[in-house]
Amino acid sequence: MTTDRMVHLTIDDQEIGCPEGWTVYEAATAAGIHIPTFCHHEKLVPVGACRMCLVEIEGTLGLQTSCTAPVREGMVVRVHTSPRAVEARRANIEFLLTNHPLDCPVCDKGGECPLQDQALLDGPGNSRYVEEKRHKSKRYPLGEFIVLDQERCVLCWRCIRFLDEWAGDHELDLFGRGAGTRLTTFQGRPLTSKWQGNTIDICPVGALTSRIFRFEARVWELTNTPSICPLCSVGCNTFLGVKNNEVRRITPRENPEINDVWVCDKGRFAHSFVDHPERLTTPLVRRDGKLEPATWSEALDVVARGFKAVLDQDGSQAIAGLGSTRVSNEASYLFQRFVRSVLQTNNLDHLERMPSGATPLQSLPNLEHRDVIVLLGADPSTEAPLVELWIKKAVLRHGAKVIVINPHKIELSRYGGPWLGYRPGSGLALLNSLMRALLDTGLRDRTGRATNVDEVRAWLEPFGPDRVERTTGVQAAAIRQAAELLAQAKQPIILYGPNWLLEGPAGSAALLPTGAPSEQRAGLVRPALDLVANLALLLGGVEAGFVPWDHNTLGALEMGVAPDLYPGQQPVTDNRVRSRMASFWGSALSPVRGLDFDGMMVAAREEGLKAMWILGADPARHCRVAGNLLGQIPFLVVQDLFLTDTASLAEVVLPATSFAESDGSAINLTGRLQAVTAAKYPPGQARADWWIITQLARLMVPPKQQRAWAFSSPQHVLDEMAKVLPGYRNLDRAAMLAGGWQPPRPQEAQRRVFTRVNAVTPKEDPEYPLVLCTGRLLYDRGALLHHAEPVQHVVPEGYVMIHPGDAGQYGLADGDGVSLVSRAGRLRSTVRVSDEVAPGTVFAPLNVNDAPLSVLFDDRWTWPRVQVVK
Amino acid sequence: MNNVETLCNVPHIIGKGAAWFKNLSKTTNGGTKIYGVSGKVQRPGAWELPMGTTIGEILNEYAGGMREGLKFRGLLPGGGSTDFLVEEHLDVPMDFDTIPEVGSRMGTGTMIILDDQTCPVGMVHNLERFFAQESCGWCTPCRDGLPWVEKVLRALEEGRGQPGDLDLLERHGRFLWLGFTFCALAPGAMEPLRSALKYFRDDFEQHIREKRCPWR
Ligand code: SF4
Ligand code: SF4
Ligand code: SF4
Ligand code: FES
Repeated sequence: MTTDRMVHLTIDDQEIGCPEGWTVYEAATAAGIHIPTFCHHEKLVPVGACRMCLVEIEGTLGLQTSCTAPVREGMVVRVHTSPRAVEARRANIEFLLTNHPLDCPVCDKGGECPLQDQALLDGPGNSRYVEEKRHKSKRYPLGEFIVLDQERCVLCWRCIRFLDEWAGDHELDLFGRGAGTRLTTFQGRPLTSKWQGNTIDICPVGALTSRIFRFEARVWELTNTPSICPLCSVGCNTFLGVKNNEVRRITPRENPEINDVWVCDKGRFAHSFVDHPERLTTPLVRRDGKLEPATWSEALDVVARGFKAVLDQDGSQAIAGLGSTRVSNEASYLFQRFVRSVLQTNNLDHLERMPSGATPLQSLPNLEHRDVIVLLGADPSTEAPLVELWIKKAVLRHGAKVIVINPHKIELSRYGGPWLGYRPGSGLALLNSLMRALLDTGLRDRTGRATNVDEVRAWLEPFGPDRVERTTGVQAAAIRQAAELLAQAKQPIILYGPNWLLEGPAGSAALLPTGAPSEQRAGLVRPALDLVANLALLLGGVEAGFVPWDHNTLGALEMGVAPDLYPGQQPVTDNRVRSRMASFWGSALSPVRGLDFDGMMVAAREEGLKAMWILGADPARHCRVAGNLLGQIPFLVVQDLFLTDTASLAEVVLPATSFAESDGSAINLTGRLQAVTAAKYPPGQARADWWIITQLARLMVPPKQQRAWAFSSPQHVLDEMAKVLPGYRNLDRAAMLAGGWQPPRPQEAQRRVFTRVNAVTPKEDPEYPLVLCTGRLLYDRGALLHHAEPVQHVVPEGYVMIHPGDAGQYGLADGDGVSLVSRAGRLRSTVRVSDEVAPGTVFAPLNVNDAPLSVLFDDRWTWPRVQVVK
Repeated sequence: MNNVETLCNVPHIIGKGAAWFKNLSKTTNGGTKIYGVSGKVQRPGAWELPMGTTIGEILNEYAGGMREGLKFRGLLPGGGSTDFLVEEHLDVPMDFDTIPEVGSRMGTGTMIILDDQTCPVGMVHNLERFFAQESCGWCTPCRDGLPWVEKVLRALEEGRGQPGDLDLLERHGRFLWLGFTFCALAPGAMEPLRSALKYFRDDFEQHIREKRCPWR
């Protein structure tokens, strides 16, 4: 336990001051005195097993392990000035080497191996050990990602402790005793932890090595470029290890604000999409109905002429742009700038758009100090794994409680919940009920800042936990238990995910025609957001943070890839803002709000949409209806890494670069602006998004506007963004490159009023008795991952999870082939019977079936009712 | 405290008083002690005797002395993890204060006798094999050091000893010692080894010189 009090001690004749609670090892390290270690790791609880760190402490008998010895006032320590300690550490190295194989030339750890380094520094030059070395298993796969060499293992417990202390996955242990002690899994089961890759980094020898990286390169042949993981909204800091222009390995880059020193296995192992042979390497232009390779000047010329023709004949309202939550800020910014200033329209959107009313999480490391964490339709384990790791730290180190409000019993329910597994569509009623139960616990003192507590008490009258039991399927006792926990919480936090937003007033969504104006649709997520705000206010104004799925979800919104918002989320209808933008962009701008994606699809159906540019998105894969409509747009341009379903419909396909091949920036889930650096050359003729957009603009704009498109690097784009985006004026590039830069958060007025939310519960439909909810898996066949071979082995076949009670009622058993049928469509799947889903609900994972689950949805905003038939 | 021998004393001390208990002893350590003798003696066994009865008395009076034709060479006074004592120590009282003064420990108080027809190197090898097996494996010196010790001793026994082996054993005796390891198992294992190298060094050297175990 570190305190503020300072302690003074002497280490190797050097006077040192350090906080009370530090260990001798920490004090020495801080003073630049090196002490070798094997079992100790700064992120793990010390165990004092390996004896590598022995030092002499005056006044104590024998030598002491510096990694466990706490500092004391006046202590005198000798590390290198004690012959006995020096000799003892040497002896230890020799002991370790007696049974260590002579593998260095073929060992992947060679070159970054603490044992090797230590042996060179301190070890005996020759071997006194002439006996037979002991033999254990070599090349023993511990699962899909890691291979174990038991002979190299020095039994330091680091891997075991990491999985226990951080991941909460007790999958590794030491078996046997004495010299025969072996590291392995229980009963030889494969390792499944999504954090296992980190054990490779912290293993002080080459006992645990990556099956993906195995023999790809010697570590000194790699060029390590700082980068950001693009696979979820956390944006873990990484190094891309490149050899011969291929990404061979990804390792974590320390950032205490984000990923500490870890990354999840998805981020570490799923990089082969970057160098996949199917990457687009040249522009493609449709000739005689077929997409044929073309040069950049041909392709850009076709695009420029295509867009111009539509502008001339049908006007700017017949063109639209669809951006992406995956591309860089620079790409998003230039894309919307192009669509607005060159194509003269606000018909701009991206899929998975974060509602502008949702507030980003403030800090990842702060999660560790929360005592009650409410997960509302968020599953960090699969959606944003590093969030899970911080939550687990709160649970495992400080005993935090996790309240899971989700139809699916997600992994983080394993800490005893309570799990409130509601029927999809009844979430609002459930949350009202939770608030009602909270008020019943009498937490009056917390609600001081709210002005209408008595009103809310009246509104919540009909939502007693017993009364909602039937509609929500959640037992009153579980609701009360959650309320009790929350009432006693000192530092609670609410995290909510995209799935929660689908808990809008079910039923009413269906009344809206598809393609209703976006503000009306935005109105549908309002109640879900309002309820989150109500709960936060009831708990005393605590933090509620949104946890989006995709890498640059915040960036796409902040850069203004939206029909109604300019960069910085400034309204397009505001004249002052608009004239400011117009002066930056050198062109007059349309004052009318544009079409959102649904609006675009309606326009396509009505043949009003003549041209569309899609950047880094594949709506055709996620929705067949959208696919059919996109196919009807006369001039479709798609810019992507692969020939996606959507790209195959296009007139022109432009090959873009991946995150590993271009400089840029992204905004992670806490609003942090982080730099991505090119680590390799793009394949073939693939080009960065900013370059493509700039080139096209120069072809299209009149001579006097050419100067407005004079960007020669993504850094220039960032320069302009810094001027345009409110709050970016003090952009600190050095910070952005080092560990990310946090723009000032807009000061929101503290909310003081509860908003009334009428929870409409969904109507029963005897013909379709079950409700479908979907969710993400960590490894799926999504856009990038299905081009990442190594992780494809762990993607399950599509399935539909059903509660044992329902399975019994409908005569279904594990493994049955079934059809999922809704009023909108049907889908083949396989039954998985499990109590990890609420009764009356079925759960199906996204992006694993060949057919998209969207066939079952009649619009994007409500969970469909289904039947499961054999 | 969960030692039966200790707990048995409690009711008597409470019943009859501390002075009575102290008076049972022959030395300043109070009470009685259960002593045991094993090895090639006439009557191996265990006896409750006044604390501080001498080694010689226990060996000769109670265990009946050495078997026919065998001569006493040494003993481990308190079990496998205590230092050897030899002839000159037969008059030493077996109690907790005196035994450490002559370089060993009371341990369990159950002595193991070494006779002149048993190889001391073999005896130590047997003990070290036991300790190497018993190491829990937690800390490096014990886990990797004890098997090394065992292998060197086996090499001596099998006639493969090398000139530097005794230095190596002595070095292990130093680094598997108190303050270097996590627990007392390895230091305990080193006690018979270190003292055997002191009292029976000639036997070790003979193994190396003659490239065989003289007792085989
Ligand atoms: S773990 Fe280190 S010392 Fe051991 S074989 Fe590998 S590189 Fe060499
Ligand atoms: S595998 Fe590596 S990290 Fe795990 S106990 Fe062995 S040496 Fe330590
Ligand atoms: S947690 Fe997210 S950002 Fe971090 S490595 Fe995993 S997928 Fe990448
Ligand atoms: S590092 Fe201190 S005992 Fe292992």
